[in-house]
Amino acid sequence: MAIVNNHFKQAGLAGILQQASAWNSSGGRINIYSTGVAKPTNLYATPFSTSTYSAYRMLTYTLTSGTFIQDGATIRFNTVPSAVAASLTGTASWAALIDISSGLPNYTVVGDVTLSTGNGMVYLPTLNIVSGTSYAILECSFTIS
Amino acid sequence: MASIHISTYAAWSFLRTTLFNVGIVSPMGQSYGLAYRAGSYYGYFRILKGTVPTDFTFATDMLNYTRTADKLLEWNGDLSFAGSYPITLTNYTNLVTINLPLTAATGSGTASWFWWTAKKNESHAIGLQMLGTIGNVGSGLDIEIPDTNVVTGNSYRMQDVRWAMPSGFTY
Repeated sequence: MAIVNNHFKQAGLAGILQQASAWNSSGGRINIYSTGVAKPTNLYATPFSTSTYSAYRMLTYTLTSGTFIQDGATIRFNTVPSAVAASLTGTASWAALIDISSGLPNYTVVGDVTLSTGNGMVYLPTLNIVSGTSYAILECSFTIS
Repeated sequence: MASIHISTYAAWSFLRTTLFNVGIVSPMGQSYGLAYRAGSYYGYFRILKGTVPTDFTFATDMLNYTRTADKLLEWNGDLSFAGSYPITLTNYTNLVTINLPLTAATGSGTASWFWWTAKKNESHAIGLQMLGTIGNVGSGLDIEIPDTNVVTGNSYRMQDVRWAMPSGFTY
């Protein structure tokens, strides 16, 4: 695979963040899904659909202005969304950062959910989610390797 | 192993910026896209021979690099990118098509890698850059061509070379 310099990654990520403006508005969501369904791995072939995974959605965070910033070659939280109550009991596995402003989640990034000691896109304080209990995301960040 | 997966819209946004960006300011400052060709100094798409570098330390700027003797072919944005636009990105996809016109080789040897640079500012300083491998058809390398043997003075072009961004990245 071709290699690129850091400036290339930074410019590309800046382009994503500029176009995916809903990630910094009420049109953005972070959904957390349980281990009951596999994380999708080819969004080109099968665009992400919230309805496909709705039965496994544990937590939904509505994003607001200034949620994300670019930090070098990483896009990460600038402000942490408020805690929300879980709608499902189980083990958190993966997350989808989506743009629902146009009806379909066009600008989507899917990644793993881990504890802060892990290597995920989203960090939670625990992976054992209990319905009705509120949880806040500790961090959400991603880059293009 | 952890991984992220991106949608075609996200890939399109990434590629559009890295190809055609005119003045977006990333954390490293203003940069120009790899296919940007207005203004001056432009960028270069080069095909070279020899050992494929594993990083960009061989280059001081777009014109000064330690592998000049390995250069076989060069498309300069100033000259060879003239005429119809040679690099396209289909809207809201991750599909880039590259068509570079006939140019005469300035060196002979076995093409093994390419190096694509864009100016960082109005100088020969490098902003964005990419390098990758070249091999024969079926080799699985980044660019596959029927014959990697390049001969000085012969003319070569790139036609319908497809560049697609991966959908997934592992960590």
